[in-house]
Amino acid sequence: MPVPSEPTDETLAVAAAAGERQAFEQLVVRYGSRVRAVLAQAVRDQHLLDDLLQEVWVKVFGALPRFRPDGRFRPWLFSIALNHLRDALRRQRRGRLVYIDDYRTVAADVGVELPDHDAAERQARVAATLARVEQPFREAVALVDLGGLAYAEAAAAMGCSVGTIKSRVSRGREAFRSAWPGAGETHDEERTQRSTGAAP
Amino acid sequence: MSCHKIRTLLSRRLDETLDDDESAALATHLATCSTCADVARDLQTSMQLLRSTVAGAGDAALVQAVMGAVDTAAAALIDERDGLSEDELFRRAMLGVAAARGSSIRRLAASHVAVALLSAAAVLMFLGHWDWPGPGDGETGELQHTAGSLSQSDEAAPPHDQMAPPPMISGEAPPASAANTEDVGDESAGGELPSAVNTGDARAGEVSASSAAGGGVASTAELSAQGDRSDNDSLAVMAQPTQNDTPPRSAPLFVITVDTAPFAAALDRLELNIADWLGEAADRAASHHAAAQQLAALESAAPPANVTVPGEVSEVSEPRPAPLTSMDSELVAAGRALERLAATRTAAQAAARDVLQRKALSAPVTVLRDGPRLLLTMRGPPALVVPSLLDLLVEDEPRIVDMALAELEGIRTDIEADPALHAAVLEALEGDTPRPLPARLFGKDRGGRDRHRDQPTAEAEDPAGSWNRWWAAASPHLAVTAF
Repeated sequence: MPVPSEPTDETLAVAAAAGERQAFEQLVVRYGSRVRAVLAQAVRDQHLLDDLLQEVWVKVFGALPRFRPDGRFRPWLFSIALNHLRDALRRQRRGRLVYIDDYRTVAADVGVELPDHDAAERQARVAATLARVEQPFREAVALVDLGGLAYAEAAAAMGCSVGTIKSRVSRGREAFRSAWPGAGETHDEERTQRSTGAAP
Repeated sequence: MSCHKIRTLLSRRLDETLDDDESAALATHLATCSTCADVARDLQTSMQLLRSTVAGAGDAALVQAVMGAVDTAAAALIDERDGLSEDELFRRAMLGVAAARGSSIRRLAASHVAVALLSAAAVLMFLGHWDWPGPGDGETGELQHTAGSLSQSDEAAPPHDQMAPPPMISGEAPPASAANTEDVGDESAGGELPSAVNTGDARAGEVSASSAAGGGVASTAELSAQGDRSDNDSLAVMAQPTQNDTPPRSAPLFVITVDTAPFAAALDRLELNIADWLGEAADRAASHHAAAQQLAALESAAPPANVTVPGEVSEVSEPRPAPLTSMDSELVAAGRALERLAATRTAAQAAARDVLQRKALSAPVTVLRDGPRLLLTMRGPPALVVPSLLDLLVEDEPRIVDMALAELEGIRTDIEADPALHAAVLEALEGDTPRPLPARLFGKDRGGRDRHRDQPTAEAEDPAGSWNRWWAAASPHLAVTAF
């Protein structure tokens, strides 16, 4: 049996729970961006997003002593992230705020053509498109395609069956595709086919 | 295979979970159905874009920010932290959290037993067999928090299989800890009998009923989740940023950027559009002028007996001849008028650019309108920008102004409801006085809402003044939403 070159997530979690800061930091290195991406499917304000991300990891820090060595770290982590996100969204008493320093997202919303050949512009358009996907499909897509979770892990994080998560991911991906700029041509053809009764 | 069935396979193809038969069937269908092929291509492209937005592992700035927050939380748990390294602070804090969790679980387990006993006591009292206990029991004070929180615990609970089992109920006092975590999770120790029991609070009632029915001790997940919630709430509170003594944010804050770079392209396009238009007008004028000059030259070579230039005073005493045509007259007039304008295309463009730049640099807000869309560029601190922005928009975008005022009203309510934040806001006003909000924003339907409905207020009589007094105090701590 080959010796793993890198410690597993669970090994790092146990080490962190025993007080090893480096182990905790390694977990942040591995999953910080992915957790952020999952949070970003519901939060587009960058300041709030950064705050939530840090709060999630502070919660992980506090909850690590409860993590069982024989458990799975990834769904546990993303479950904490989703729960915290839902709590935060519930605490918001106002509607969606658009921060003007998040100008690229604003620009995408109003359809302004900005010089958009850089990653930030693309991210804003993706975020704006993903925001149009309804829950819980958006959350499912975020966990699988942004968080990198397997279906079983995503199902555990969302508290549903694997079959349900597969269905949600499929519908979420289709909704994202439909909402993506440039998908209208395909839509038009589909509508034409349906309206004309053309055989698929 | 139908298109509908094919669509269900497309998602699985992204996950590389199709078997050989499915892959073959999908390929065959896509080769013959252009619609599904387009959908497949769109799905592939959109998913690639979606997945590409995830930053690579090890985003240094992100990691640094997260670890900073965690280190702050850890340090807050340690009493004597001077001279300790980050690693040592983390270790001690983590061990302290673990120890506190053990003690809190023991307390929770004990308190759940107490719930069952109290439930039994309540039943017995109801039946007339027991005297109601007096207040002052710290354990039961804690019970109130526990009972109230248990009903919410499931929402915060990580999966059950991740929970470590609680230790045995020992009944001993929580051990003293250098991490000073004894109070973690114990938010309402001491005090009176829980009102939950006295008044029949629904949540405590549920706990009591379930405890009485289930044997007293809540499930492992509930116990651990309760500890998790209380511990993490404490950690979250302790992790609040405290740099520069800024007041804690209990109300949402908004941010305005001073970065106008993203709208530079739109500004440039607008600039160029106007410059082009002016340039084209100059070109037309120049061509008209050239034509007029040629016409004048031709006419000067012949006796001007029949030409009359409008506006000119003829030095000839002879009768004024009739003008050639109205077009000729217009050409001559246009040529003379255009002499007063920028003579060249470059000058026209430069003039247009200068006007726009002066406007953008001098005004705190520049509004670019592109059909139904509104682009805003803003410069300066919110205290100066917001009033200008609202003043600028109140005529053309009353809906946006209403939204902004509603947001400000909400912020004001939140801040005034938080005594600490309100005091911090009032004390922290320094520097230049912010530009006041324009009075005309506060028409009959705005600003004069009576915040104390039963009595007349100064605000109702002078809404603008009231708002401005509040605005002067609060604006340094606020930024403003975009629309």
